[in-house]
Amino acid sequence: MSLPQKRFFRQRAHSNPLADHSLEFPSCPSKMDWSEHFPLFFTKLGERFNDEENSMKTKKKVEFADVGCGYGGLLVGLADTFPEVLSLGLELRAKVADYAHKKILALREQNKSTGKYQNISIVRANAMKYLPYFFEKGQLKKIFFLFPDPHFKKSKHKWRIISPHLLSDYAYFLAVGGLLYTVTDVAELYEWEIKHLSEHPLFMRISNESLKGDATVDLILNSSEESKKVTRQGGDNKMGEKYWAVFQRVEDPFIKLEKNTPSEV
Amino acid sequence: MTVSPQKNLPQFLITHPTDLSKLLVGYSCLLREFNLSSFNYKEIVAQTFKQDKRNFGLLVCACYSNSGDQVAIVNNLKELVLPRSGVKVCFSKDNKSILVADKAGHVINYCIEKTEITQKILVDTLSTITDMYLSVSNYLAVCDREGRIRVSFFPNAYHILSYCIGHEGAVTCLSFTSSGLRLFSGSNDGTVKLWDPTNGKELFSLEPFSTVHKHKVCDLQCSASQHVCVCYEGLSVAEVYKYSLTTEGLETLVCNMFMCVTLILNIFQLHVQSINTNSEVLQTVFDVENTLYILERCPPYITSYQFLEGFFSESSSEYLATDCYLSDLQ
Repeated sequence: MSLPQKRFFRQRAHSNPLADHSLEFPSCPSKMDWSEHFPLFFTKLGERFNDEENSMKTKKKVEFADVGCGYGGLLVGLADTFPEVLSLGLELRAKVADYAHKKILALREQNKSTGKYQNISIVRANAMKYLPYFFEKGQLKKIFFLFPDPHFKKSKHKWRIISPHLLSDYAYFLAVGGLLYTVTDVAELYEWEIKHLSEHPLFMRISNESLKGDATVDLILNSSEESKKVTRQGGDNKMGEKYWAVFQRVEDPFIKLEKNTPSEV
Repeated sequence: MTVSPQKNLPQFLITHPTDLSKLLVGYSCLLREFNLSSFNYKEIVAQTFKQDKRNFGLLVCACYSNSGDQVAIVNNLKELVLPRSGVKVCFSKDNKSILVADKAGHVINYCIEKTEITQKILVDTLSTITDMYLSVSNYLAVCDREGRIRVSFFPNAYHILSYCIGHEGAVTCLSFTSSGLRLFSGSNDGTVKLWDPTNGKELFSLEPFSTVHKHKVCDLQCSASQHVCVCYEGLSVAEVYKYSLTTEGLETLVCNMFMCVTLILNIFQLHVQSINTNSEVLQTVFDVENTLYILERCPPYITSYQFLEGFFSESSSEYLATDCYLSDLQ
């Protein structure tokens, strides 16, 4: 099977996340049939693996989520760097999701002997509305937002994937201690993201200095198609600069405060 | 100004949190507080900080504060104290905040400090909110037309406690049990589900009608005595179930042969008390002492049922059956 060619999968860059797309999603996370995405790790819903080794695998859950994964560049990088972890990409645009899906299938076919790329997959989904149908509380260890659509106009700000209220959702799916990665070439979007993430009580920034040389940071800066395009063409300010940040999901400070202050009679 | 004699019909009922003799009835254009013991009513006049207003425009919803001395009203004109196209309104436990859920998916917290009101957006689902409930245990539950139920803490509503996922249609109504530890929800998929809001687990699902002809649940409410009353869109019956703490499910309610008529046989053979009314039931509400009020579309509009000896029996309240014409207002 050969890799798909992008020219057959052209799609408009923007997609309205608030529209009612005809998307498929499970009625709840426990009813999701993950065997369609990770056939080596899951049996069809209802069946069981017979042998000991394989039944251990079905206890695995998706731990890394790439929101707006585009053409799947980061996922391919994650497959190599984290072979034991199941990573899932979410993409709203139909043709782009289709391309990434075909790419993953082709890679799996080409690497049958080594069994690589069995731990990554993509689902066509609207992350702003339907995440609760796919993931459970605290399931994710890492969540990625690489080069999200900036939606420059003020009236379109509510379409931005990082917004104060969506952050509450992401904090719900991330386990305490989990990490949120974001990178963009648009300075204004970066300021917006940093502002809302810093203001959100459940997230705390990890300084960029402390993460120099981190494998995941290297992936977010260089592995996706968009990041390569920024390097080639210069990005938003034509300097090829990529602004990135990593935040950690922390415990709710409000609850800690309540526990410490003596209750009034 | 000529006003055509439009009928001003009762739209919603609110029971008083402490005083059993008071009942708030919202009509299309006015609000009356009925005193059940003295058989009369008084009109509620809105006090904005600018002037007293009598004409409300079209009323959408209202609620009592927990002390019963204040009423928050939401209308469609965005002119009152709470200028929002609200769907549901409720007071917080300390009476210092009013929460309004609107059609755009926001829950706004209005803090009342003397004469100043500051507002803050607490929650922003990206879908129309259909119902909201603040429990005594300070959990805020919000449901929307996508079928999701989001339970968060209050006032730290950024901290989501759980998502109760399982309904296959819009969730239309929510009700916490009196302890605030369990949540009932009714949906357009025809089911009533019981959830544990601390972890989002579905404990029980009730589908009283056969799957061939499902009926959308339009309202449900829990009483302090572990009863839950459910009404369905287009149906002139209100179903009362008893919630069992041990089995975490709904049990049969002891029913009297005279009162109980099983409408449609369901496969579980759950005998419930079915209260038949003359017309489509719009809303049901319990008061503090478990008297059940049912609001229907046609006269006699509001009937009340007292819980005696194991089942609900009708008590007369004919004076409540008034519809009034707009010309009455002048």
